[in-house]
Amino acid sequence: MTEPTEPDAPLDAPMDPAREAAVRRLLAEAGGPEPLPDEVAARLDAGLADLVAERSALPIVSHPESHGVVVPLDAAARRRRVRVRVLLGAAAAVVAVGVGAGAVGGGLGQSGSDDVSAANEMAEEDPARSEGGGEADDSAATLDEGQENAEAPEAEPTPDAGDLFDAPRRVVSDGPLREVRATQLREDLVALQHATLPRPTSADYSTATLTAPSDFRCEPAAFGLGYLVGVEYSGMPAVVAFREPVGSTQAAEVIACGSGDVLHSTTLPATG
Amino acid sequence: MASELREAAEVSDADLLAAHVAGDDDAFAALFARHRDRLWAVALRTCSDPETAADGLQEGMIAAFRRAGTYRGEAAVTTWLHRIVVNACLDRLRSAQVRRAEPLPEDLDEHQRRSRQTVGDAVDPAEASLVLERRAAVRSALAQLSDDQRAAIVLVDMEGYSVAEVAVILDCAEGTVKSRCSRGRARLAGLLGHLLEAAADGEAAHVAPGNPQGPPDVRSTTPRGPPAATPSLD
Repeated sequence: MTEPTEPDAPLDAPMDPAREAAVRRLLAEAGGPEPLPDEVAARLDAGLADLVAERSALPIVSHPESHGVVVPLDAAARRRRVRVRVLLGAAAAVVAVGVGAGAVGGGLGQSGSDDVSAANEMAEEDPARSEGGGEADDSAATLDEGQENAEAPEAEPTPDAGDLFDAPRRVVSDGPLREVRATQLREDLVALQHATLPRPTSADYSTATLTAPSDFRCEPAAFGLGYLVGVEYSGMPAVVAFREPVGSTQAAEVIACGSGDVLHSTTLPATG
Repeated sequence: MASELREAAEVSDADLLAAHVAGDDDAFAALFARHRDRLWAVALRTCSDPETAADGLQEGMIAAFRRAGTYRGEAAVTTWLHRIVVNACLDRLRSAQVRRAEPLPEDLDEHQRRSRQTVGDAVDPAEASLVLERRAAVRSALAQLSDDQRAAIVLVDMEGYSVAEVAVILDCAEGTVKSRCSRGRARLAGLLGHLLEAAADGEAAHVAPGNPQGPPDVRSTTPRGPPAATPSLD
C-alpha cells in the first residue's frame, strides 16, 4: 500500500496511473447529483422571494415628462424615497382635508394642494438615479428639506420636485443603445465621446448626467460624477463615465451596472 | 416575457440571465432552479458541512442575483454560477477557519445517508451498503484535504468539469488546477488505501469469478532468498 502523501509534498514521483484512476473512480462514485434538502430549498426560495420583492419595489419605468432613464434606486435612496412618499402622502391627506374644509367654508386656495400633489406624483414616478459621488447625501439633505415642507402644509409650498430628484440629470438619447466592444474599445469610446458629450465650453462635470435611450435598464452603482452614457458591453448594460478633462486628456471608464466594477479605464484626447 | 421564458425549456441560461437583468422577476428563479441541485452538491462537498454549504449557497445565490449585470458572457452561465457559489463557500471556510483535519461532522453523514438512499435501490442491498460506506469514506478523506485541493477535486473528479472550466471557476491557472488535483489524489490514495486494495481485489475476483484465491500471477515461482550456494571454485 502506498504511504500517505503529505498535502504539500512535491510531486516528484507521479502517482501510478492505475492507482490514480482507481482514486478517481471512487470520487466519481461519490459524486453526482445531490438533491437539495427541503429545508435548504425553502430557505433559498424565501431568500429569492425577498430579493425579487426588493427589486420589484423599485420603479423601473422612465418618467417620460422628465426624460428619465431607467436606473432603479439603490437601497438607501429607496428608503429615503419611501419616507418622503409616506410623509408627502400624509401631507396630501392633510391638504385634502383642508381643501374639503375650505370647500365647506368656501376658503382655502388650491396652490398648496397642487404643489403637494405634484411633489407626491414626482415621488411616485421619479426615475431612479445613480449614487454617483456625494450626490446621494446631497439628495438626502434635499429630501429632508422636502420632508419638512411636507410636514408643514401651511408653510411654503413643497419645493419644485425637480429639486428633490435632480441628481443625476437624466437625458434620453434619440438613437439606439450604442455598443462598446472590448476589441475596439478606444475607437468605440472616442466615437461615443464625440457623439454624446456637450461642447467643452458648456460642459459641467461637477454633476452626474446619464444619457441613454428611454428603455435602458441598469442596476444602480457608484458611477461617480461626469457625463455618463448608457451602453451595451459584452451583451450587457453598462455605463461609460467620461470624467472631467485634465488638460488635453479625458479619462473614460466602462462601469458595470449593479456592481460598479470598472471594466475598462482609458485616457482619451479631450474633445475640443 | 417572464412566463414564456420560464416555461420554454429551450431558453438558454444566458437568455434567462439577460431577462433577469432586464427586469424579469421570474427569470432568475427559473435559472437557479435549473442548477441548484448541482450547485448544492458542489457546495456540500466543498464545505464538508451542510450548514456551511447552505449558507454558502444562499450567499452565492444572492450575489448572483445582484451581480447578474456583471456577467460578461465569457464563460457559460453555469460556470459563472459555480464560481460565485464556490467562492462564497471558500470564503466562509476561510473566515470560519474551519479545521480541515476535523472528523467529518456527523450531520453530514446523516444528511448524505438520507439524500443518497436511492443509491442502492436498484442493486443488491449488501452492495448498496458497501457503496454507501465507500462514499462516506471518500467524504471523510476529502474533508482532510486543503480547501483548495478539495474544491478542485470536487469539481473535476466528482462533478465532471473540465480542467479549463475549473480554472475559470477557481480563478486560477489550469496548471494550478492540475497540480491541486494531483496532490489531492495522491493524498486520497493514502487515506483510501484500504478501499483501493479492496477494489483491486474485487476486480481480480470479478475477472475470474469462483476461482479459489491463489497466489498472484506475478509472484515468482522460484523461492526467494539468497542464491543457492555456488560451487566452490577451489
